[in-house]
Amino acid sequence: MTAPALFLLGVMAVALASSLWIGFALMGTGMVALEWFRDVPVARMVARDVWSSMTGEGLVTLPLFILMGDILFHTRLSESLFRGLAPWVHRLPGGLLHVNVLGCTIFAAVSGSSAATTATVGRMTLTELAKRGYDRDLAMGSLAGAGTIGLMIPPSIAMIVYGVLAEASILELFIAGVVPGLVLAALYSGWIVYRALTDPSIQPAAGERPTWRERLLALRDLGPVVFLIVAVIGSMYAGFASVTEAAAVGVAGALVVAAAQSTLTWPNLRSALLSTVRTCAMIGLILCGALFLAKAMTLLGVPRGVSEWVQSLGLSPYTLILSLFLVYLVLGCFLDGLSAMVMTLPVALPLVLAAGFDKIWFGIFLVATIELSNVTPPVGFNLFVIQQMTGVPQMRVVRAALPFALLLCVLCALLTAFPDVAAWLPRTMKG
Amino acid sequence: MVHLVERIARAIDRACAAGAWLAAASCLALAFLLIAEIAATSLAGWSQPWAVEYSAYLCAIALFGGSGFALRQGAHIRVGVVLALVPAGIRRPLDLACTLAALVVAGILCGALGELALRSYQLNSVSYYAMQTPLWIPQGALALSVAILVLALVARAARLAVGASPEHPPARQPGEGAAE
Repeated sequence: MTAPALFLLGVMAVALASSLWIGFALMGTGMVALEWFRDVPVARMVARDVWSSMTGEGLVTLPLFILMGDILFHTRLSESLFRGLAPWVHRLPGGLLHVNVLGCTIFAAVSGSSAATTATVGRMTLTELAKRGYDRDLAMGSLAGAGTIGLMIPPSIAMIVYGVLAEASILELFIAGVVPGLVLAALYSGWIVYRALTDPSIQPAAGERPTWRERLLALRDLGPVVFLIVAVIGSMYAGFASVTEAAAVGVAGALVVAAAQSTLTWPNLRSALLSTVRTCAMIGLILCGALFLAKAMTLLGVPRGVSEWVQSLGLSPYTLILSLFLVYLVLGCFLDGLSAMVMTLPVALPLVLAAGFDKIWFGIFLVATIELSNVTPPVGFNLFVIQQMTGVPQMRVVRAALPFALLLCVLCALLTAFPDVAAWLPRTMKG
Repeated sequence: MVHLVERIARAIDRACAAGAWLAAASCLALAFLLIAEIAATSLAGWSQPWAVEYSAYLCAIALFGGSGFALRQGAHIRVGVVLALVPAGIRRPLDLACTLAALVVAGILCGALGELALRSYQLNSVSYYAMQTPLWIPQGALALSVAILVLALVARAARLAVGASPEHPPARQPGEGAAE
């Protein structure tokens, strides 16, 4: 097995380093390796594999959740979230900074991506917080961190991709992500409270206390988001809809919200559709490359070989997870998190399962590492988004996001030490 | 020569845009199909016999129809570090080499998908779902989507070769169209 494994690694490294598109690099590596080591009709295999994987049932949710997010991107949800949440967090230590965390947590329940969550919530909060004299770095950092909750709280594009690759239940992954997402939000809010208590200069003097009447009236602004969450999650739990159908409900709901806020114009819809098509095409190419490479690797016995080799090292399960965590941390510096995940999964998943970890649990753990790659330089999507929105130098955004990146590491540690953080809710719901 | 290349490349751009709209229409059709399915099953107690099957085909087109368009707009992911760091004189040849390598992979895939569709047509293969759809139709659509991607790669290679700009990224707001 050593020869095919090293060969694959070599070809892939050369292809990626010469900046070949990742989808083509994965598919091409699989083709070359099979052609070299096995006597099989490679082209015919690729065609069959792409046909069956791209018409697979789990994938159907993907374009729908992407479209839902893209339609919502052009609505005024950002403003409504801010107005609805501000009176509630006003008196907390850290004040309106908590709108970043809460807003992202709520928006995460209707969005499958972390960069979109960052941009949608940040569009309103970044300017409002700066205007009121909140600490700029803490505003940017908490936004970068909280935006990553978009991937953890369902729906989540990364979880759909993992579910398809690992043949895991997407619904179960979605449910498993809820508690870790909330834990992460609590960690972020806790940090903001701690900063506010130790350094009062990060927030302006508290103004008038909002009355309960104001607070209750503000809830009206949360209406559209709550409507969407209930429509998507409610239709699943009430048994009207499967995950796939719930995604379609989400698209319809997003169209309703856009129409109600009179943002459902042709330019907006056109832009949302084209942006969906771009994202779908990007993920489609990577996915079919990754799925074919996984198949080629299995035919060449690579995952089993690597498993045996790692087992011969006699690592403890925790050492294994720590090593994988470090691998993803390093890969995250060169690749986006999604690509890092799809490339390594054929080898990493058998290792982790053999060490006694659960498939759903590992999915959640991987999503946390992808989140981490989104807030670490040089390829951190959330950092890019904030940099583009504020025009602040990249290094300053990186520094601002650092405490929140460390809190993500804390989440990874918590997940490993207490797997129930992810496993409890799906188990309870299964009964 | 440059003029001719640009004219052909523009024609390919139009094919890519058509593919993108096909993908967008598939996406919307997918949503409507599934909403109709919820209404049908919960209100009328009837299920569209084609819902599962056609949603899979629409999904495949949504994922691949816009691939050429995505290439032209620079949306496919690559590790950009090396390309950004090498001297300008090497960048274009390296990019051209990548485009040609991708062309080989996509060409093999496209040919094989076309062959798959052709064989399904000759053997009259039908799907194992209730609708018994002749398989060559969706398989042909997927092959066509990949053919557009192949054309887009040809246009990209030609533009690089004559020194024209290979990508035409749209003006986007931060965070728009994000996958992560």
